[in-house]
Amino acid sequence: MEYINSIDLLLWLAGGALLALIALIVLEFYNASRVRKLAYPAYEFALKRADEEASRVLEQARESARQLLAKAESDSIALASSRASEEDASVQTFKKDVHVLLDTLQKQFEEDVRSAREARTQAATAVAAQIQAYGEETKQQMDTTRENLEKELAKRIDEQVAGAFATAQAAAEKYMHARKDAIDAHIMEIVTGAMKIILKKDLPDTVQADLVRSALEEAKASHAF
Amino acid sequence: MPSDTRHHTDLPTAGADTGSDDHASRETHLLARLLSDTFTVTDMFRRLFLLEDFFEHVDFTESSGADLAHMLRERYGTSEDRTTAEAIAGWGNDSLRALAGEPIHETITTLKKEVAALPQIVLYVPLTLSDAEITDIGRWCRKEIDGRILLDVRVDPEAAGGCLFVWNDVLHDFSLRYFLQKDRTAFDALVATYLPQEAS
Repeated sequence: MEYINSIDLLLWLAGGALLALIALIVLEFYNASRVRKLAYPAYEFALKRADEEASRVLEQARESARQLLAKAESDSIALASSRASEEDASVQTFKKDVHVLLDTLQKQFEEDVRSAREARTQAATAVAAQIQAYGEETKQQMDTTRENLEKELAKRIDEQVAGAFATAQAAAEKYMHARKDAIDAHIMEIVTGAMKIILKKDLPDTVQADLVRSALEEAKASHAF
Repeated sequence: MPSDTRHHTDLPTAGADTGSDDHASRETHLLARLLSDTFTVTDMFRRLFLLEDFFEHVDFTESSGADLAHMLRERYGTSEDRTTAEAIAGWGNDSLRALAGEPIHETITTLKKEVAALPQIVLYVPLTLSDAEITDIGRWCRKEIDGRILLDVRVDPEAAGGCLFVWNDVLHDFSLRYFLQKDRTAFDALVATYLPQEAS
């Protein structure tokens, strides 16, 4: 109950405050309009005075500017004329100096060219002499080397030919011996075959039996057993 | 090589009290009896076969007391085993009766194994040798090589002029080729006389 009463109190206070505020606002607007009505002519007067003052100051500034510009123009014209004359003199001096410089450079260049030609000629002569000397020496060395190579080559060819010939000769002798041995073996086979036929045909059986016995005795003597 | 010329040719008397040791002894005696007059492998196995066949017949006919030599000649006299039978008959009745009455099959089987283990020489000859010649060579081999050696004689014309033989798995050539190689110098000199002389 007290809580509800406090809330009502607060509500009444808030409403009152709000009304007060609204009243103040309305009052402010009323006062402002009144002030505006009173202040507006003074404002216009001040504005006009300010405008006149500003125009005066502006006119003064323009006048000063015109004076300055005229003075500057005159000064610049004088300066330009003096500069032009100076420039002409400088150009002339410059041209004169350039001609002198060019002449000097020309002479120097010609001198340098002449010196360079002389140096080049001397160097070329020296190089040619050196090349000729080197060429002579190289030619002699090449001739010597060629002669040595020819001798060495001839010697190697002779050695290889002699070696090949010796090898061929040895091979031929070896072949001859081999052929001789083969022929001897063939002859042996032929003779053996012929003798076998003769033995079988012409020898009595008892003699052949004796040959068997003799062969066994020969084997015994040869330590075949 | 030592030569063993002692052959126990007398077989134990039949009917004696023979044990297992005596049985082995009889086999040894029989082998010795065979080796005394058998020199080739072929003859040896022929005789073993004939002995087994004959004594199985004797045992079957219960004629161990008969004239075994005569029976042998009669049984095989007209066959190709005539020579073998005659050789065995030459042992005499006493030796033959010693084999009768005992199981011959086991004896022959054992003897075949022993014969296969005997040293053998394979002899290549150029022609068929007679029995006497084989016997002569056989006796020589028994004397000079091994006292129990057997010959395996084969005919090979390549052995002309001598022989070839295999002993201990090595072939030895002692035919005409060997003798020509042995006197190669003389042979070459002889051939050279018929060749054109080389140009010097």
